[in-house]
Amino acid sequence: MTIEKIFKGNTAVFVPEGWLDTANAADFSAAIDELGSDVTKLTIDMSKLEYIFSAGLRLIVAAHKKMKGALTVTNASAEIMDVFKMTGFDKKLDLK
Amino acid sequence: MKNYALRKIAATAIIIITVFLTILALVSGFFLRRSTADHCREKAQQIRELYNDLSEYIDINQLSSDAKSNTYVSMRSMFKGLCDSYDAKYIYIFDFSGHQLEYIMCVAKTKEDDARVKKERKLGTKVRVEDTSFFEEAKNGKLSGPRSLNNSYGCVYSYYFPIEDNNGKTAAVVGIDFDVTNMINKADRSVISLVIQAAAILFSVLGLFLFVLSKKVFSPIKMISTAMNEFDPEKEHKQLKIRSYREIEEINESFNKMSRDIKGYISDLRAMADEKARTSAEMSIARKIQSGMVPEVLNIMATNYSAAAFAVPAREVGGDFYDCFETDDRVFFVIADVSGKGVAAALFMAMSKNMIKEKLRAGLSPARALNLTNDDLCAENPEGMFITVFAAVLDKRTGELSYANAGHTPPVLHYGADVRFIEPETGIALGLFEDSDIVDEFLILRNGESITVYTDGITEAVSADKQLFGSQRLLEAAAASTDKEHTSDIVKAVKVFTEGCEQSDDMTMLTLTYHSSEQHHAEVLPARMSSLGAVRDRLKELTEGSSRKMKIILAFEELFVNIIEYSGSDTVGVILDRSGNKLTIRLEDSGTEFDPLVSMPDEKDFEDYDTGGMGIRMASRIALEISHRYIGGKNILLMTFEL
Repeated sequence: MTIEKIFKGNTAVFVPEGWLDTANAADFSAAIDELGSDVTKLTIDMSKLEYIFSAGLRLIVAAHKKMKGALTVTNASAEIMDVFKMTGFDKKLDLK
Repeated sequence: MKNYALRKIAATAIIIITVFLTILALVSGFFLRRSTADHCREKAQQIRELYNDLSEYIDINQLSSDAKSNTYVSMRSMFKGLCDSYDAKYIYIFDFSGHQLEYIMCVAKTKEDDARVKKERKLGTKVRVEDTSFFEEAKNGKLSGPRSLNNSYGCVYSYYFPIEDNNGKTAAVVGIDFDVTNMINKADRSVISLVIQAAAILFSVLGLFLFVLSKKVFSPIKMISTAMNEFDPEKEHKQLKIRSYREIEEINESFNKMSRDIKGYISDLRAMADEKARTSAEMSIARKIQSGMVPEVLNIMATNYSAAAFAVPAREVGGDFYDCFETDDRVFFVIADVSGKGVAAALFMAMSKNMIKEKLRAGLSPARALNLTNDDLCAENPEGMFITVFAAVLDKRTGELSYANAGHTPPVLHYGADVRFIEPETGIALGLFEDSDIVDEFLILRNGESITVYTDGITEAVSADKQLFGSQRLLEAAAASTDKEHTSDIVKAVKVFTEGCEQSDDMTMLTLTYHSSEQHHAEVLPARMSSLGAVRDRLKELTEGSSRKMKIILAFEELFVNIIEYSGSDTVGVILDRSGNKLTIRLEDSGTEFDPLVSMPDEKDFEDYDTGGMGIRMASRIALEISHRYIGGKNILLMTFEL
């Protein structure tokens, strides 16, 4: 899966493209693991993400824990928002 | 003329009496005549003895020489005296030579006669005689006679004896004639009188006998016979009162008893006929009720399936049945054969049919429905009847046919040119044992594939030459059938086979054909992540235009991935079906039994989401319905979605 990564100081922005499903989860997981301790804030821009599956949701939780809550999710499509609502993510995540 | 006993007896008796009287007349006549002859002979003998006493004083030669001599005259007067005292008509002395007879002397009893014979039969008178046998006999020394002479003068018996000269030589013959006319007439009269008396007595006795016979025997018999002829079981029988001999009274009593018995039998027969008519009417109603429950012919053309069935009981009512009904997404069909035939089988069948139907309708699997029905039947089965059943459910969306077999004949699968038996678990007939342990099995019907179920009345149909139709002919008939529903062609084949034979068993058959919807996809994939892409594309196509498209894909993928990662199965069977605004997904794997819905984690906090297991929860939220079953070593997940 293609993940565009933009770093500005201690802030990182990930722009994943396509389907964040089981098959692609490993790529996204690796991208999170690669984040150095200097990065304190993470924004996941979902403008290019077609859809997210449970494996993807797991990684968002993992990223949220790693950033100690400093995770922002932006530009989620209505369909992805449905998934967030369904799982209660919409109440925990900083959605913009 | 009819041969009536009384007439016959009378005629026979008359003949016998007549013969008897005739014999009586002949015998008595014979004896009377004989006694007359004996009487005359005795007199002749006495005359002979008298003569013999005198003979030494008589010279016969002197007699025959001169009729004027004293000797001749005194002899003549002596003979005349004998004539009078012995009541002889004539006494005469003669000699004969050949047929020539020469009189020596002749005397007669009456004066006129004596005067006549004195002239006409004087010494030396010669007469020719034809029969001289008596004379010859007398000449030999015997007293011969009677020589019977019967003419217009009357009846005369003549006796002859010889007389000797002084030298002891037979010199002449003495003839004595007795007039027996009166005696004979008297004898005849006494015979006639005897016969008349006997006849009078015998005929009186006969008349009396016939009268008694007629009065006491024949007329009661005639009355009984008239009563028998007039006997009408419909009417009151008038019993005859007969006073007669014991035997006749017994006949009458027997007839009275017989007529009572006949009336009894007829009324019994009538009651039986009424009973039979009532039973027949009841059977006809029973048949109507049964053909309401099990129509003789069934043809269903529905959206996803078609069915054809027929049922022909061997008697008015039968123990076979089939059933075919549907709920929203499922078509149920059952075929069964109750042990035995007729009313008992029909009642048992009606009971079983409802038991099974009610359980299938309630959503129980075929095996569960049959096992519970078995429990019910075992509890209410005093006659020890049993039933073989094949019950199946077709999921109209997926083509999944789940079935259970309770000792029934194996069904035939028919797909294009491929015709074969499926071999379900044999199972055990219901009603026999409390633990039936019937299991569910399933198969996937392809579009246009059909299954034919039947009872053993088909395979065990017997031809004129005592052959069974058998399973091979059944397969051949199914393969040869051109009709979309094979039932009618198979039935035709059975009818041709059994031409001219009475149907011995109920025959029932049902064919069900699956017609999948146009948006239907079924395939078996290797259990690998790489299989996902192509199926996802098919799913995208099928969910095109739906706002819930992505969620459905999410749910599908969560479960699909779950199978690949945890089931350990090599393959995943996928069926996708879109009918109207519903999408159905069926996933099948041959991994270990695992119900993801049971092991689904509880609602988690956000922080715990990274531990996994939430995909199934999400899928179950998205799905309208989701279910898991484990049948025949397969996990089956069935989900439906609103589009």
